[in-house]
Order: sequence, then structure tokens, then C-alpha cells
Amino acid sequence: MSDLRRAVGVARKDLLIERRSKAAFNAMAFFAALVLFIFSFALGPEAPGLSPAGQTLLQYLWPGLLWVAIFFTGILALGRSFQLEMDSGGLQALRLYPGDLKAIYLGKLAANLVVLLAMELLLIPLSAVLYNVDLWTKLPGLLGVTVLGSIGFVAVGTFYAALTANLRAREVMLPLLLFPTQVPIVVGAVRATALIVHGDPMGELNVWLQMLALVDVVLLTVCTLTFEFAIEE
Amino acid sequence: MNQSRQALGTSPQPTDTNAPAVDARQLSKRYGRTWALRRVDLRVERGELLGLLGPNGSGKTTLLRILSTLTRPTFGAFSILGEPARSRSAILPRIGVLADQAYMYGELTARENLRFAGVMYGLDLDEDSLLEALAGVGLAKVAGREIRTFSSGMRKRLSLARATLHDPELVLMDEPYGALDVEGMAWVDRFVTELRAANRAAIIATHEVDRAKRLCDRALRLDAGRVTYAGPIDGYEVAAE
Repeated sequence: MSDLRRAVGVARKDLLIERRSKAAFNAMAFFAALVLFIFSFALGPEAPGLSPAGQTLLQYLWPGLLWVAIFFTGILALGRSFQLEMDSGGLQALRLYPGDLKAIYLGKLAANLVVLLAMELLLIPLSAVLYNVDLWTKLPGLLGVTVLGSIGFVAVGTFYAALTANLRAREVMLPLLLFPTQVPIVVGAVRATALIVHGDPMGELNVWLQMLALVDVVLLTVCTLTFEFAIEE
Repeated sequence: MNQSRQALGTSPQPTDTNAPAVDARQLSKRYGRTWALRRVDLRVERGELLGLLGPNGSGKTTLLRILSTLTRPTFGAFSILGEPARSRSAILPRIGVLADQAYMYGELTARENLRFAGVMYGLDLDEDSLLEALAGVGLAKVAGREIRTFSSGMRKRLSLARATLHDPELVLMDEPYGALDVEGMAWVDRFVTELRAANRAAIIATHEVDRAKRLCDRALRLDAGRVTYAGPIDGYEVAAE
């Protein structure tokens, strides 16, 4: 019970700092908007899509572009998460408190997830408007995929952010370590999003959602159990 | 030393109330090819104040980091309050650490920083307890100010409040007088005196030899990681510094 209270304490502290400084959210929002605009300019708003449904290329590629934007912007939140500990003197302060170190991981994970989901709430409608994608009837399904994909991303991301926090080249090392582990999440999330947006004639969506949930459970379990080694000197 | 702060059941009961506060044998630590500590033996009884003295780079901070479980010794063994070194979860609720850095969050107020520390120590702190702790270090009037506006001395005082929030039996202090003005140093002196009155043990790493001679019972001097003096503080020669 005390460790749960500690995890909640870490999450509340991180979110309070983020609410005051808005350091991660502002950077993420601007970066996400930039990524979306760059894709729009690069691919062209009127370029024809690859499916026979009369979509533009941007509409056809929207699921993949959305997750690219989510992952790239999410990196900013993950890096900031442990940077604020380094600014306050390092991870040692957290390691000097009693209790299970897993509570620190779960608290950081919860705070990162809240920040990422808040950013996605902005990003998804913005990208839908920008790329002229009709989402409004598909939002509940899309919300489920977004949450599942974000949990897997943040679970590993929080772990690696802690592991690289003390490195000089942490800005390079974090994506280098993180993105290879995200392949199952990227494939699952993009496929599930595409099925929701473009239609699911073969009824594959549930399989992808189950795979995402399974990957989330595996990543969460492994990262939680090994976190104490990530912040050990 | 506030008895009104109620722990939420995370602090284990002392396993051996007669065990010394610190009992270390042959502690050694190597970073790469450099030995930061070499075969340090150390025993601190309950209620005893030890001055940890020596020049910069002599191994004082390394020794404190090992005793606070932040760093593992390369070899050697130690126990804290009867708990073996590997029992991190048993040691940490019973020790307080005042490190050379503040370990505080600039965007949070003094009160919020202490409240967070309380949660992490498993304490149930109400507003009165928080204000009392802040008043103890002379910061009650600035309880609602974000600490990025604090001076180094004010941060140090807040760190002192945080390190002792859970009423620890042993306090490890690394350069407690650093960045403090005269008034701040007097706060630390008063705090150390209160520790003694409460029969708490402390290890104080400092360059303030005169203060250590006034406050401590014994001295341990390190030089290049080796113990060059261990004995009563009265026998410690200032000239050795």
C-alpha cells in the first residue's frame, strides 16, 4: 500500500511540475504540429492514395503518419521525465527514499502516460482536420488503440529514459535503444488504426488489439521487474 | 525529532537495539584504477557524533555514499543500526542523508517538496506538521514559495528539514556548512546539538574543523582514501589539515 502511495506521489509530483513549467507539453505540441505539416507538404494534400476508395495519399497514410508523430513527440516527454530529476541533483535523491524502487518506475510511467495521452488528444483531431480524415464515428475504437499503443511505448520509454539519464549522449541513446523495441507496438498500432479508419472487412481488428495488449503486459512486466538495475550505479 | 509525525508502517522495527549505529570493516572502493577508499574501519555508537575530516578528494563523500547504500563497496562489509548493508529497505527508513546537493525540485514550493518527501518516507504529514518542520529550519514564512527563488543557504536548510523529516536514528551529513551564511551555520549547529540531545548518531563530513571539534565526540580523518586519524576529537590536530 505504501509503495502504491509512493507511485502516486511520484506521478503527482511530476505532473505538478509539468503543469507549472509546461516544458514537455509545449515542446511536444509544437513538434507534433511541425511533423504533421512537414508530411503534408512533403506528400502533397491532393496526391492520390493507393486504395481504390478515392482517398488522397495523406488520408491513406494517416494511421502510419499519426503514430510516427506520436512516437517522435513522445521521446521529448520521456527525456524530460528524468531530466527534471537530474536538474534536482540526480536519481540519487529518489534512491535514498525507502520502499520498492518499482514505485518510482510506476509513478514516472503514469505521469508520462498522462502527458502523452493529453498530447494525443490534441494531435489526433488536429491531424484529422489537417489531412481531411473522417474520424468522428470511429473515435471510441481509435481511443482504445491509442491507449494500448501508448502504454507499450511509455513502458519501455520510461525504462530506457532512466537507463540513459546519466549518459552524456542520452538524447541519441534514448531513441537508439527505444525504437527497436517498439517494432511490435508500431506494427500493431498502425495496423489496428488503419483497420478502424479504412474499414475491417476480414475482422482482423481484434487480433491486433489482443496482440497490442499482450505486448503491453510483457513489456510492463519486464520493465517493472528490472527497473532497479536501470537506476543502479 | 518530532514524535507527532505518524509513520504509515513502512519503518521496520529495529532488529538489534544495542547494535552500533555504524559498524564498517575494511571498506574499500575503486573507481577504475583509482582507489577512493582503502580498508576503512569505522564504528559509530548510538548517540555519538563523528566528524569526518580530510582534504578534498580524500574519500569522505564516497564513504557516506556507501553508508547510505547509494554505492556498493568494492570490498568490505558494513551494517547500519544492526542491519546488514544489503538490507536497503531496512536501512533507509532509519537514516537521514544531507547530501552535498539539495535534491529539491525548483518548480515546487518548499511545502510541496517536503510533502513529497513525506509521502516517499511513508509519513502521513498534515499541514501543521509540514509547517512545523519548515519552522524548525526557519523557512515557515516562505513555505509557499517555489524553491527556484531560494538562495543556496535556504535550499540547504530545506534539505536539512527533508533529511530529518522521518526522525532518523542516524544522520549522514556531507558538507552541511557549505553555502551557508553565519545564521545558517548556527542553524546546523543547533540541529546537531538537538541530535545529540535526542541520542541520535551522526557522521558529519566537513572542512569546518573548529566546529567539528566543538560539536563532535570523535574524528576520523581520511587522506587519499586511507584513515590517517581515528580517535577523540580533542586529540585531532588542526595542523593536520
